[in-house]
Amino acid sequence: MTRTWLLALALSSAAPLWADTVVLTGARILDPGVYDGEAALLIEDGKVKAVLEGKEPKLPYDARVIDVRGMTLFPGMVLGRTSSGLDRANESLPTTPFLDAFDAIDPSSVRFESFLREGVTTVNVMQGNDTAIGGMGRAVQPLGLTVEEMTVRAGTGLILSVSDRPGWDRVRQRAQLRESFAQLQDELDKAAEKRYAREQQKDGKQVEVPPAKARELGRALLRPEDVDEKQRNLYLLVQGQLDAFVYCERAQDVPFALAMADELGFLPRTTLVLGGDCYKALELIKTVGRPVLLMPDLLYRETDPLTGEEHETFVPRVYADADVPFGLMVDRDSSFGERYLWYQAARCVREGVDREQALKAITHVPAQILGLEGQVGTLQPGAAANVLVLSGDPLDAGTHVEQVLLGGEVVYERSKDVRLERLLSGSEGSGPMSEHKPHEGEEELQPNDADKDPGDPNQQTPGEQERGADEKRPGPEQPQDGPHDDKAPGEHEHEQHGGEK
Amino acid sequence: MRLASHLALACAGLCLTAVTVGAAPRVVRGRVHTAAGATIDRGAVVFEGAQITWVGPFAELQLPEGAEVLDLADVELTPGLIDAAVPAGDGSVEDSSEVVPHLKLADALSLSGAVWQRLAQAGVTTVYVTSNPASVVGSQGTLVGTGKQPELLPHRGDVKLTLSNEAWRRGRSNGRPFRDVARLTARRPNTRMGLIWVLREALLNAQRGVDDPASKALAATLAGAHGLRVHARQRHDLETALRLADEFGIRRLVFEEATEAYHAIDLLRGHDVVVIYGPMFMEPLGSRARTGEAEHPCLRTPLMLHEAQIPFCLTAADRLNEGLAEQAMWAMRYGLPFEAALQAVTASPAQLLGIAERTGTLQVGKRADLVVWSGRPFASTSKPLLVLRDGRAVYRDAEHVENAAWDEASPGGAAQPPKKPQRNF
Repeated sequence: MTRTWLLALALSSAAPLWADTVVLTGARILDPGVYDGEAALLIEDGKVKAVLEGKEPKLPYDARVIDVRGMTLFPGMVLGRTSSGLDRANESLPTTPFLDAFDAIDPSSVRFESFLREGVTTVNVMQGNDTAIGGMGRAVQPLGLTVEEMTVRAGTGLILSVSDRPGWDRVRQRAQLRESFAQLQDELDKAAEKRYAREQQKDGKQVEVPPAKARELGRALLRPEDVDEKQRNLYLLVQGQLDAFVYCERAQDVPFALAMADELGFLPRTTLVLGGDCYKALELIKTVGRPVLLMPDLLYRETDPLTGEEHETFVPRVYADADVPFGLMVDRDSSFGERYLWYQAARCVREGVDREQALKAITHVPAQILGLEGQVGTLQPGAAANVLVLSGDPLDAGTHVEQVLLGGEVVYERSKDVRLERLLSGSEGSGPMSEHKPHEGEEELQPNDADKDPGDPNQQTPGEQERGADEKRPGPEQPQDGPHDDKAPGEHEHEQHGGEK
Repeated sequence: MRLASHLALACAGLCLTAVTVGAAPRVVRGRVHTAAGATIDRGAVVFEGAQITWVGPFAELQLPEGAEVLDLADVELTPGLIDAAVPAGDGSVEDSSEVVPHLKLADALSLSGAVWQRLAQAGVTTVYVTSNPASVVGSQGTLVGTGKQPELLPHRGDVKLTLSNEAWRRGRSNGRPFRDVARLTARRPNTRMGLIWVLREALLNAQRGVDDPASKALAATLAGAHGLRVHARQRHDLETALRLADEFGIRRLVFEEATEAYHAIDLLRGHDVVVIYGPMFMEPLGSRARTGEAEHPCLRTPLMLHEAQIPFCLTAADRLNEGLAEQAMWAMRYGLPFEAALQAVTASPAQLLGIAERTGTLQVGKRADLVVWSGRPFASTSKPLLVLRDGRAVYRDAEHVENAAWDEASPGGAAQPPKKPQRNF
């Protein structure tokens, strides 16, 4: 119900069949590091066709022209990882490579609506950090009736955490990781032996080698379907066929993460998700040669244990100065600023990060991390026409997302955003952007919450307790059996503007 | 003259540890937002010691001899920001009574810890620490100057009445295990009606001249010796407060938080009130979320207050990480004009706190409390590069302002009177 109006909006603006060509004219086009200037954007079949420069560019005769004079066109932003849209961030089991975000993404989650309103058009939905080996992520666009319709890329990778889950310590965390991979090896040995025996049988031969030899020979013959479904994603991971996101909370976790990924062979496909003081392992991080994702709490504070003095480090600045490309993330548990990708980027600029780099951290870099380089997060020819029509510069707090195009279709218009109207004026939107009218009765009718939890014994001081409540609570749900994704992991699929369907 | 000033300093300033002998007036250049109506594009602020001696266009300034000039590209200046309602922590909640207007936060406030430095870094030079809303009638708040060496500033201290549900929900004994048992034996009212009754009883006792410290302090408050604040979020609590004010002849009310002010614009317009609004939120979080009160944001509330000409300030309250400037930014994002946002975090709170003759604007004669912003103040990409309180840097971004001499006041000009926090024993 929450998003029916959005869908209705999308349907009503669906283009007639013959108008596959759309031109946005009169705006400033800003694609960080690629293009910045006034031009027209030509969209054909849901993809960016060209940037038409010049005062009066020649437009195709059949183009539907949308006049966006005075606006700024910016690629739809890309969020490298979030657990928004899942009912719970994590399963209570520590090792769950068989889970898939596909099964839990709620297309009607209000968070997706918010993403669209904020101009985030590609979201990698993935489990949280409260895990050892978590499930498979999925890149979606924040619009569609079903997850299939929303999917931009299935199987974006597995999330692994080398930092301790709440209630664990690092020793146990790492023991769990080792155990999980040891179990995988056992499983593979068994499967390899079986496969070898079967191949021999096919040729009408007996197994004439000792079991250890049979395992060794069978390894080369192993097929993914030989491996138990519960372990299959891990098998693909160590075969180098899956991407990995490895979460490190602290600098001390980075060497372990890299050693593990290196030893098991998935280092070339690893994206480090870095929190806190990981920047202290910068030299090591640089050796990976891949972009990283930064946890949303961009400020790291530490108190000198001897002098009591507090030191502050703005984390992205360290990576920017070292030329390590980074993607930014958002904290949906923050009350305001850190909820927004544009604001995270603005913070970077505020602290002295180069503007282009900050803008890339919410577009190009996360797209690259998700294996969608050139397909989303950019306005280069060939990319999906996910375009934001902004009232000003993307990093300016006075700027609003006026329109969002997904695959060339207008799927969001601020002037018709009923819920935004409610947020702005506290009134039931009687019409788009109507004057404020107090809406009485609604708040007053709330029961006096005498029965709600009257004070939590674990209360901390206000302002310190907000973070990560969602992510850190293990869920009591049942594990699900096997991946439900019939597409080969790693295979890129790109669906177009779900709004049209 | 110089000798005299040195003498004056010697008298005044035990706090000045390293006096730079021979230093002269200081000049900060930039776009000056005075918060007193004027914006000077290529302006300058001159101060000697702790006092502003000149404000105007740089071109018209006759540079005093030996003046130190800070001239950074593209910077803009505002007065130091003032947050009029930073709540004291849970540790300051007195459990022996829910009516404690005779207690003074100044007696217990810890001035160590990084929080004061963080406030300074965010451009906030003065904060009023208000009583924690867990008491029905809270203790008297106190005024603090921020920085590495924070100090208590003289202030009459306002008394706070709580109408939000923290008063029965967040009390210390309520937060403990066995809280239900504790509630049977302890002081807490546990309905809003009970809350209002405790409040009314306290006010009645004060009116009747009951001879106990709390009633005497409340009587003094009603007589005007202290300001009176009300912590309330929901519209009907705002209404109740105004009703109580009428009942007890309270002329002026200061509302803290007032989340649902947008529901009560007409009501507030008809009364003598000041609203300390904030923090703004998309979703209430932490202990605030657990109140269950006024959970839905109305992002244009500051604009509505402004348009209805209801005097208001903005506060970041306990959301220090986000900061007061960010509150101003969000208010502007949702319609509040820049000048109004600036007023709401400088001149208006100064006036409310009764320190407007000292600070809150950039005008000759006021203390040199000022912020040098890297760009447009409250913009998402701007931050303070230098924050001065009483003419000395309480925060200095060493990357941009290298001269460490700014950390100490320059001697000269009007001497700093010795500061004594006021305590009415």
